[in-house]
Amino acid sequence: MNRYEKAGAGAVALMLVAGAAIFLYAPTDYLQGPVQRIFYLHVSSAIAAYGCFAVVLVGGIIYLRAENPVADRFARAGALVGLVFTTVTLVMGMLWAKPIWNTFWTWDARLTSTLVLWMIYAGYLLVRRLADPGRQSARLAAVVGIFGFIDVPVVHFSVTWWRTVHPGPIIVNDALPPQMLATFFFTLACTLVLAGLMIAIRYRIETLLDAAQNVSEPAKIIATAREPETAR
Amino acid sequence: MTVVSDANSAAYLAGAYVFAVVLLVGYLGWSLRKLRQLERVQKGSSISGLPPKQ
Repeated sequence: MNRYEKAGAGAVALMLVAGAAIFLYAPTDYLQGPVQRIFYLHVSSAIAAYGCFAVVLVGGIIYLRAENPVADRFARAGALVGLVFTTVTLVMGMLWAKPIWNTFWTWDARLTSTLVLWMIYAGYLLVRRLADPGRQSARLAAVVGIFGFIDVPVVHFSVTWWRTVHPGPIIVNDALPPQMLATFFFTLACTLVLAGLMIAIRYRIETLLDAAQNVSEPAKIIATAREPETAR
Repeated sequence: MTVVSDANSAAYLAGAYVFAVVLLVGYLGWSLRKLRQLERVQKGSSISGLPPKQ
């Protein structure tokens, strides 16, 4: 077991404790019933996704200023992990909406802007996958990552800027009883630890992939140069 | 907002958490396996002095 696997086991154990707090410690909501428990991981995942996309933003800015490959690798890692957490947010939200709104989806400002956020970073990853790896693709992706971040405050403030059916901010408005609030903050902390670990693992993967690319490129050139010799 | 029956509500709650667990644990497991593979390839290439297999 390497150090990443040990950290992974630790993060999963923390999430299990958070699960116990969600299902055993937090009280059942009087109005919504058990489905309200979706809130704890749904909101935590959304905040973790904001954090991941902030990594893409900072990584992109540093890469454009200094062409630092470390910043680019962090940006790549942040985009993928952020996309995973946005998917969790969207699907959990849809499963909460069905019994509460009687529909899985509505083109509400919060839901639509979150879907746009998912599409922006899926596009970012597509750019990285389709373009030839190198300076040009990294610069293009950095620009997409920087402009894509504009949607994060739009998602966050959509419930206050527009009239929406999505619940408004309840944490800052002190609308939760202490047990629910404690469960939420604990779940948030565990989710952020998990997101941080996922970024660290992906960063290491990107480093190894870059190293393999750097070693194999000269090898390919040598192999191509030798081909005519062997043909003779 | 509609009044939700507990049985209906619990089914959606279970579905939501099963999805989240499968995606998060699945992604974590997949990335750890990928990392292990890459580290093995890197270790192999550094021993032989040859570039890693693509």
